[in-house]
Amino acid sequence: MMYDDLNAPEDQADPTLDFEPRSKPSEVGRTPSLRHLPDREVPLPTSATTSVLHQWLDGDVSAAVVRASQGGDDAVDLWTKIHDEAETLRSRTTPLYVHKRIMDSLPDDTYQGHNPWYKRSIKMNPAVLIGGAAILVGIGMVVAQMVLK
Amino acid sequence: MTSETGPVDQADLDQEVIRRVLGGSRDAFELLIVRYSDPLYRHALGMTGSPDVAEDILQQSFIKAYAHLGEVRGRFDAWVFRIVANACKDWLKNIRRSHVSYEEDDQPSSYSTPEEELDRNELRTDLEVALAALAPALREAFVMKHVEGRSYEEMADLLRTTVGALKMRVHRAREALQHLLEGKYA
Repeated sequence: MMYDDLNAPEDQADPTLDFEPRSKPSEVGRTPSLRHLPDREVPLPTSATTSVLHQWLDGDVSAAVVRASQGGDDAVDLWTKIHDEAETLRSRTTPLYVHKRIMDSLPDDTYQGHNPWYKRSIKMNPAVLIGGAAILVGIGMVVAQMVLK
Repeated sequence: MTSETGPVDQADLDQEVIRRVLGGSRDAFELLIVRYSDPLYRHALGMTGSPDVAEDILQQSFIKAYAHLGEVRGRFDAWVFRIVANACKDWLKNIRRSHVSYEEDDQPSSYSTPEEELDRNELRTDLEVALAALAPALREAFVMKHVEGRSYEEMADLLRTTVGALKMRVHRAREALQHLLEGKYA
């Protein structure tokens, strides 16, 4: 059983209701749109075969049980073909060039700002050394003057 | 998602990689791409039916994930899956397609005879057309269950919904596909 809540806001409505099964020609014009059904519990239109089919596809019963039901052979054959096709898709992998394409398209400096200054590495060169030495000498002179006073 | 270690270990490894990326190591992000791109690519391919579109969605999703990496709370694989899943559903809602197929497919054929390949190609095309007739939420549930081979519990975890709701969607999708395909193949 399922429940149609027509009071639900449009953006929260059951997302599965977009699909409308094709009507038989004699039913055209008589079948109301699913979006216009009144508030009520709606029984799913499942036959015994359909119910058993779902159980088989969910791994709860064997294919032999489905084949024993009316029209079961056709259903098993169809779903076996669909499963074979799904198996093919399941073996697909991402083309390797896609990895490179993604890495190449990432911005270079997104997380530079997240690296605190005290964790960043310092590249040593003569200018850095001279600057560092000058700062230390300056601090030393200030401290010495304060002590001598 | 794919992992050789347990889900908890994997989550810890992901968190370590995320810390490195946030610390400025941009290249570390490639570890996450390599680790998770295959299942995400298959999801996008199953949802769109087009390798080119699936690649684009994967690329845009990882760029988005990179830009918002600091917002990850909990499992990275589930978080990035939802980015891809939402992108696929947005694409399905926005696009109006007259024909979608795997024509761009450059993977080698594994069929034994040309006749078998022809039959499989026809089924593939018909299945794609039938899938395209489903609402995005039904297609998503069907692809996750039957193409990706996930359990209902795993699907519920990834999509943040209930097992019952997902069973309902999968059942509806099956019935719709059966209705659309049984006349030709059953």
